[in-house]
Amino acid sequence: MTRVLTAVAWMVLLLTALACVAPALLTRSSCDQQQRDFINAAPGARFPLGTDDLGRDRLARLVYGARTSLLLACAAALLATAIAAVVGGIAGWLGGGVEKAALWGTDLFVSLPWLFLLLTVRALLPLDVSPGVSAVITFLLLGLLGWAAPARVVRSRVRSLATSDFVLQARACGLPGARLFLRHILPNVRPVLLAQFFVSLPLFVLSEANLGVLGLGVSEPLPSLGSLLRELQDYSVLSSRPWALLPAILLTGVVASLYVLASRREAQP
Amino acid sequence: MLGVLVRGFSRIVLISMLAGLIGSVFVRLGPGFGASAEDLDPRLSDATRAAIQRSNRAGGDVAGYYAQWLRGLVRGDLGFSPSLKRPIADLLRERAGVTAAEVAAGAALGVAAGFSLAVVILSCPRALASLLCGLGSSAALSVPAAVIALLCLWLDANPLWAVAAAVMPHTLQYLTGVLSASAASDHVLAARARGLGSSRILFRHVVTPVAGELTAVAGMAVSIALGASIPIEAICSRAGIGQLVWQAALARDLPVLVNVTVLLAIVTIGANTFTDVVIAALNPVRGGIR
Repeated sequence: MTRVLTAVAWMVLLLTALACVAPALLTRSSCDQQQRDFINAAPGARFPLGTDDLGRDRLARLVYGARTSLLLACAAALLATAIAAVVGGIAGWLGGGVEKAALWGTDLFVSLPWLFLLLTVRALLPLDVSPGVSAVITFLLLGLLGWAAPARVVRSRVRSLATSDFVLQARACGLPGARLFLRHILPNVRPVLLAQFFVSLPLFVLSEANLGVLGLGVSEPLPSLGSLLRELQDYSVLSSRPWALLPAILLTGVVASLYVLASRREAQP
Repeated sequence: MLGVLVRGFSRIVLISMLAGLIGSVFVRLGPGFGASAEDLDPRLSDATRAAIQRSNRAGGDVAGYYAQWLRGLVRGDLGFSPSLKRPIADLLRERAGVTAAEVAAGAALGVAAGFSLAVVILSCPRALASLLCGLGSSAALSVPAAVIALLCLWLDANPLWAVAAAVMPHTLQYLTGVLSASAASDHVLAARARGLGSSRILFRHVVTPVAGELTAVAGMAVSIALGASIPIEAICSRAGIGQLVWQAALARDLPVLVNVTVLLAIVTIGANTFTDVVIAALNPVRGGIR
């Protein structure tokens, strides 16, 4: 059963990855082309998922929205993991005052609810920007603010490695500190960094969705999984056009698949 | 225990001061500081506009702004909300009760549901339990709080159910891990071998030894519930702190955001300190989780 679950998760992610890499294979329409003759059209041969209230193809918006959200979430997770590696690595390796300062910094970030922190810092930046810039700002913030929890994990791993026997022996052999860090510590931290990357990814996709629903994420007409959910605020849509729920279903499927694969990864010896 | 209390209190003071300082830096250096809608009012003369800008920019540099904020804090004056045109202290006082009730009830419900499900999963066969836990928590964790709020609105349910639904999967995942580890220990095997009843084993030998770890879930639940309350209150139109934060973010009402940042830091660290104190009381040798 677990294998079936993992296979389904891989399938969902591969299909979504296909949408990200080659959206033209799934849809021929543009995500912002407005067809005034087909406003709120029901699913049919021409528009498999129908159109929205501006006459835009829902399938095209879903495919391009998934691409925006997932590619930028990957970039943000990479940025957060890189910052966590630098901060946690330096703190764990140097110890003392530097470690204490880093712990205080991470404490400050971790003590505030994540969504609140995002919302506050997003509000400090201009809201009236082009859609492309809003997407970059949203995901840059996720990357710049999401490093604190991974940094704590990296610090504790580096700390335990720094006091391990093989590092002690390498020190006794006269290896310089920088070489010791790069050749012996960093390769051993790589699995932790990879795990943190996979843990951050679904968190960032969900955070973008929350910001999108609240109107502080990626702005129109650029689609993202979060901005597509805004339509659901008018909940009469759920009974009149239930296919408008597809972005929420896709989002849940993708994030659940990421969680399933991350937990399989953790379960591996 | 006194050490845990002192450490917790100093953490609250220092982190809230730091949160205030960082908030002040962001407010002072954020684009558009001192600008207001009145700048565009054609009826105002240049002199009036300059006077309004001087008043908006009061506090000068970052240090001046921070000092002004601290002085106000000591007097209980948290400043004025430019977007809602009301004193911030009044806004917080009016809305804190709504959010506190919602967060407390939602977190308690979420923890209770997570604990009950974890116990159910624990009594299932091992492979099925792991599958149930993995499926259930992954599916529930994958729904954004905003979508849970929309569902709550659609079902015409009380928003505290939405808060509970946001808290439950996190606590379920944590509690299943803690209880499974405790159930796999040798003393539980010995108790089974002596023929003790399953409910007695569960509550006396599985749950009791990990009471400290179970208490730690309270701090986590409060933080998750506070975070989830923002989209839930915004979407369900509840006049709480979450809705205030959302309105302030959309209107770029930075003084409100600084004060709420400090308030939330205090509440979150306070909840964690409380759980540390309880853990220290339950297990004096460990002296709390750090």
